[in-house]
Amino acid sequence: MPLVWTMPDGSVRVTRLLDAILTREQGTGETRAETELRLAPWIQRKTPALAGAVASVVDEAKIARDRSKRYKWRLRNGAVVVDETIPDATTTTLEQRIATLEADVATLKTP
Amino acid sequence: MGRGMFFRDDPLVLSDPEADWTLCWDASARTLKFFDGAAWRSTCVTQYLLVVSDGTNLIGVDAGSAGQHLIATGAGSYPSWQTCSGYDITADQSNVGSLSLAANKNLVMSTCGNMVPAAVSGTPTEHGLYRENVPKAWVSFDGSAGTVIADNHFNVASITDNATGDYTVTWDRDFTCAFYAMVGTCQEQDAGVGTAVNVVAGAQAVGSVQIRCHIFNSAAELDANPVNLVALGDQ
Repeated sequence: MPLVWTMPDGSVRVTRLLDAILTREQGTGETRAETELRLAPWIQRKTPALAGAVASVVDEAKIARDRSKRYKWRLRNGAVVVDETIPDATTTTLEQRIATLEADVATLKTP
Repeated sequence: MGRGMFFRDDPLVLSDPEADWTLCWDASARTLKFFDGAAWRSTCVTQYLLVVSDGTNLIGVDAGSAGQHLIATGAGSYPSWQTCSGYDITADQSNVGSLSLAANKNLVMSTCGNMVPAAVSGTPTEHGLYRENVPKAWVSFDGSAGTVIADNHFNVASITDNATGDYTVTWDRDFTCAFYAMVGTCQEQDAGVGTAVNVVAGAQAVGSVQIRCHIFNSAAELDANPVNLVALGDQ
């Protein structure tokens, strides 16, 4: 089960610990989820950007799949969901970027 | 007179007047000298010297020949000098101290065994293996999956999906400083679009690195598969 970090701004980061690490670190009688939570401070110390983040373990099935709205992912009631109340991003789509580049090329070709 | 003697710094003189043999240890010169009936001879202490007796008298001193090794021949038997040209592993007899494997022979480590090369000193020997040129970590992962999945990896503890095309790789064994070298590639799902991996400014630490995958000439990040990263540096 992945570790989900809730950042101070409400966004989430999803960490997957490598199986080899979990196998090596899992204590006797400890579940995988318990091992992951125990290792969370270790990962946090190694990753300066995770300062201030709060870790929780979330079932893989309860993590949103729609990566096109990755910026809207939020942890709500033990699940990572797409929060539609968050405004749409202003970044351009791939098609828009290609159209822009093609327009630039056409401009350059103009005598 | 005993059998199988080993000489150290202790003052020592062995003599067999009937055979006209005399050995003595010159501690100041760290040299074993012996008189063979005609003249005094010397040998260097860094070489092995085989001293043989018949149980009562000293009957011979044999320094062997260049390239030979002193081989044990079993309990109760004298060791002997033997040429080792037929062996798969040979040790250089000069001061270079190299160890050679015969052709088509492999150096195989047992489980959990490893070889730790020394740090380079001076100009590297061509094709030499040093601790500086050993890749310390690498990973290939799918950054487009629901949660990031590592396909293959070495010395990686975890991978974090920070945002679209934005990942943090955490090392199992940290680097000694944050100034290590990395090479990264990524591939977009739609073929024909050039991509690049960038390290996020200020986000390369001893224990992790944050990277972003971009389309060329664009600031926008994209989920890539695979994302490949190799790191080299001091640990």
